[in-house]
Amino acid sequence: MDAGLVTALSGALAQSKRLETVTNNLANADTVAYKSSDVVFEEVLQENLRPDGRSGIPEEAAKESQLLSQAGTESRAVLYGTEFTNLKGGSIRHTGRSLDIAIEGNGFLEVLTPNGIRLTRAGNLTLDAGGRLTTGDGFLVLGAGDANQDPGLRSLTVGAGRVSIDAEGNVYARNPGGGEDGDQLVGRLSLQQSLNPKDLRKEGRNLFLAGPNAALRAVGQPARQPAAVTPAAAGANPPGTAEPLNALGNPARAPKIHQGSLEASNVNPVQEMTRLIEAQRLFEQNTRLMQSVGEMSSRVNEVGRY
Amino acid sequence: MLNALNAAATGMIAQQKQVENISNNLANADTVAFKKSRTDFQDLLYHNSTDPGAATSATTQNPTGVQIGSGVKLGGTVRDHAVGAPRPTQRELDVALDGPGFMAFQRPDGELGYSRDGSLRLGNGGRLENVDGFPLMPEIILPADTQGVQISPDGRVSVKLASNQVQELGQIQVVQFANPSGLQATGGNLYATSPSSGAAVPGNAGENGSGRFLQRFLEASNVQPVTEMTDLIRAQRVYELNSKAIGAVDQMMGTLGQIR
Repeated sequence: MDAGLVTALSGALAQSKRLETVTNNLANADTVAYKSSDVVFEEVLQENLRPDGRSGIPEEAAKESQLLSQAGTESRAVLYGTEFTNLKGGSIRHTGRSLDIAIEGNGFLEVLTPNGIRLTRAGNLTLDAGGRLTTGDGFLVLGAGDANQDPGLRSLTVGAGRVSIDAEGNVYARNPGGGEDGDQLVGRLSLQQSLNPKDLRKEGRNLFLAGPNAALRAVGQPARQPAAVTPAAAGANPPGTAEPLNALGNPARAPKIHQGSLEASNVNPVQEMTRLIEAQRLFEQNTRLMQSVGEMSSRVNEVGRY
Repeated sequence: MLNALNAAATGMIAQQKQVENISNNLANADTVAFKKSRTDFQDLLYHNSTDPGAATSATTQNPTGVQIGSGVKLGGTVRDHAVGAPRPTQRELDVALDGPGFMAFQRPDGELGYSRDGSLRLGNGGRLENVDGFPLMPEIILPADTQGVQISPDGRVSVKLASNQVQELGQIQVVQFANPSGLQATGGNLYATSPSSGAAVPGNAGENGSGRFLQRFLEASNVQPVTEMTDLIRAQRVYELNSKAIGAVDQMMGTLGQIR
């Protein structure tokens, strides 16, 4: 009987966690280049839930479910499994502002934050007091260059005049030095592709932190970091091939920059609302289950009473 | 569950701010040289209950981890300094700039205010001033017997006197900034410098990429009502969706309260 209670409890907990993901997606339905998240649940046999290191269940999860391990061997529980970021591109919205850029395809801008280099797809750029390209938070947008160089030297100074950015990410500015020489090439945006985007971690502020297995590759340059993970997962670059391969084994396509546009959030309200309803109903069913298990327990207590 | 409630609430607050901003843009759709602004949102911190790459056994790692976001915040408002369309007015003291740059006015507090609103007036003693009576800097004073005013594209102000003589009085300066979006709007169609705008760089109209003066024109606002209306619709719908999410959380908590 206890086992039933615990199984229902794990189900209710899982749905309430899922609800948190859905509400975060909905809150960010209008955030520039936001990538929605979803969760996947794992069903586990409760006998596997002991935190003894033999089970193959994540340690944290095992700790969370220590309670469950008391429950018996025949019943099952739900674990809050893994969260996936849906990196599908959002729709591209025209804004007409010259410092707005949208990235089409797999690609991230490199930005320099106080905590180090981060990646972003939010192209709502501005300038700082020195006329350098920055994100809305004032983090420098980096230009392509030697990765071992001090990133602070890779900034792009465009000034207040006309700025053009072409599809490859080349940045042209009108007389950044104050001259009358027309448009000059200032530099090239540092675009990074992740061949294993599962290892990109959301950090808030529209930023991503690349994990050790993200297999970053600067677009238009030789791969910076050979993919150390399995070839199927990350498309390790076989020796001799020029273009690295993506997870499906196809050559990774270079991203394309659209100036004067922004990438909208890829949250699909229809999907999120159905998930919301689903989470709510499953939560209700699980709590009802808990209730009936509780009633059954109280009936047991009444047995033998007059 | 409370986290879900908070995330949905941040979504509603964010959209409320967006509606406030859109309302301000629409209210100023007919303000001379008004520059529309836009709200840019950012996702909030993530709570990592399992880090990506955490060991799941001696030899395997969790490929994605568990990250739950906590909502959205207003990252900033970005002012779009695109030039508005010049509108003919036939008034000889109206000027518009057809490119980047600002005119400088002396504010009563001693600081300079910067504006693209070129509907100039004659103040006490024939001084050129803005609508609020703040003098154009450097000062230009029209003689009492002025019959007509001519403002050239590079900003030179010359007057025709009663004696049919033409006299040049001075040149209106055009001030530029490294980052005009960093200017602080102070109301009254004026902007003030801020640490992120960079220092004011005075120059002459038509030089260093700045605009030229168009006499007898005023710059219209760059608000596009169609864009604002579609943004308004989007903001309202996202607001509704988030309120629905709050409703769902509320019902789930209600369900929870009934168990026992």
